[in-house]
Amino acid sequence: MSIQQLNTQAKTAISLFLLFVITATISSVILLGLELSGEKAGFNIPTVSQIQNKYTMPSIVSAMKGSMYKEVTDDADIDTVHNWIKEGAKKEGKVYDDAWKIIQNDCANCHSKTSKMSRAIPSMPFDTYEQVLTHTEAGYSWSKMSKQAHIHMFGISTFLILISVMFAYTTYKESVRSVLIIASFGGAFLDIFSWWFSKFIPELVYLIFAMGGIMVSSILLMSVLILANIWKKEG
Amino acid sequence: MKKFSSIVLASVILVGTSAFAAGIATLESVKGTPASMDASDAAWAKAKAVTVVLDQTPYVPEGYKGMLKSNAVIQSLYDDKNIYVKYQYDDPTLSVDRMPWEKQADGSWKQLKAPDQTGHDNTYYEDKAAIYWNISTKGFDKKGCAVACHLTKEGMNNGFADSSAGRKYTNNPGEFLDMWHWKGVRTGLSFDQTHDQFVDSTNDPKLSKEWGRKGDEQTKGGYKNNINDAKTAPAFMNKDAKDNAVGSIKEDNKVPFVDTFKAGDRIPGAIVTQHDGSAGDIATKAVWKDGKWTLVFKRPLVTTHPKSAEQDVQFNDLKKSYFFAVSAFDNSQINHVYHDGAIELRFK
Repeated sequence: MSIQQLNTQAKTAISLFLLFVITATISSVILLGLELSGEKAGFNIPTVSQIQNKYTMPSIVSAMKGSMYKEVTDDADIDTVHNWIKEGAKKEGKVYDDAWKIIQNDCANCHSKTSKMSRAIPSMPFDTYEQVLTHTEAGYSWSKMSKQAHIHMFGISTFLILISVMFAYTTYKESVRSVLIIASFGGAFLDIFSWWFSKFIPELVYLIFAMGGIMVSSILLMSVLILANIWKKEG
Repeated sequence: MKKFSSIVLASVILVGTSAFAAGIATLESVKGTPASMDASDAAWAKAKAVTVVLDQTPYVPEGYKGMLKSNAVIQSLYDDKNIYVKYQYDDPTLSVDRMPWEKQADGSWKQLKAPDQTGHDNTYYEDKAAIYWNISTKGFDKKGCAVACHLTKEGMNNGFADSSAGRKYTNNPGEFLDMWHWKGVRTGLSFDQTHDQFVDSTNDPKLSKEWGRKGDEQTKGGYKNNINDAKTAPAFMNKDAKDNAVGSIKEDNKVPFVDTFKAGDRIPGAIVTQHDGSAGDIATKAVWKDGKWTLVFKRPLVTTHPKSAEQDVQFNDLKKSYFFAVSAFDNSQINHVYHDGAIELRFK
């Protein structure tokens, strides 16, 4: 049996579903690029250093280097905040005073429970030392990782199984089908695995980059190949 | 490796890339001398325009009915002595009633005010506009006005109790911004003049009640509240009632208030005097028409007052870039619409 044997309505539904998947996949890469680069528009391919910032640095430092960079008064301010965190993020000393002043000047106008600015983020306040402290842990916390991992794994696996089964019933060579199916699931698993452990093994950011690329490309490739195959007349 | 990886990823995802540079806008100031301060002067035809969307606000006044977004169009000319800036922006309503007095049905007088939660008026006020120029403030070229914006949080600003929505001050001693503050009812329409101000790092209200925002040096100029000693009615009125149209009373035109008015009649709430000295450097012709304010500013390229170095941006090197940012106040005392980042001005 092959997907070419399906009736026209089923083929139409599958084709439309795949167009949704292709659009959603490209959108997710655009979103990731925007978040990591701090740009407001365009297709920004994430770089290894941006990924490194996101998964291995304290989230406040990562944001100052990435999505919030435009709010940073001076590049040296990022180092000041990072040094404060590296020295234990204590509520004392000159390094704390300097870092606190930077955070209040560059971040807390929007990051405040009481902010009414156009871009206010009252849900993530930096009004107190304790509030800022929650953003000083390097990489993903257990809580954030658990949340991110289960959302992504449930979501990705749900549409991946659909695409994989469809692809399995195309008329391409068995080896091509097997490689792409394994690559898509394997890439997704290793990508998410590396999010978590790159805080302990920084070199894993290269795995995030590579596996993310493999996952995205295999999803797109399978989708395009299915579309090309499904409307072919049976040989 | 980074570049290679990017190229590989770009290839495998089968999507063409189109990077958009999110740089700041650049305004070219071109050589030319307008024959007049009229915005339609032929000299402006050769000046390229930069358009900026003003869609940020520092706070939300209770019951605010003013604009939350505006489009600004900016042009610039210069000659051997002066720089000219034409700043046009959308403002659907003309507002020239700055806390006026109104005669009540029972014959008494009431000064109309409607302060918001921060004690500032957004109902009986004037339209204003501001241009900030960087003199020596780190981060302004990247962040624009936001670098000097310090919001009050839970009634505290820099450790001091404060009821305002926020304060302007720079982050470090020695950092200055030049502020061209056009105030419609006060010196704006009365004297075709912008109040030339500046911002420094004063972050203690005991040192200055306006914190870092200060007027340039002057011997006279500004405004005072038009109120009698008993605080029950205006003290003065315009010699010629036609002058009420701009919402103020010039010092030279004032005559003692004599009540021959009927209920509902209004008397301006401000007595105004032209700024001299450094505070009066900027001539400004402003016209509101068809939902837009058009302001033409003229200032010497270089000013030579005793404190010009810290109060005025000096356009003394025409090969340099100068960074500025604009904002607009719709019938509002402190709430304003502004844009992210700074605009670069280059002389051509």
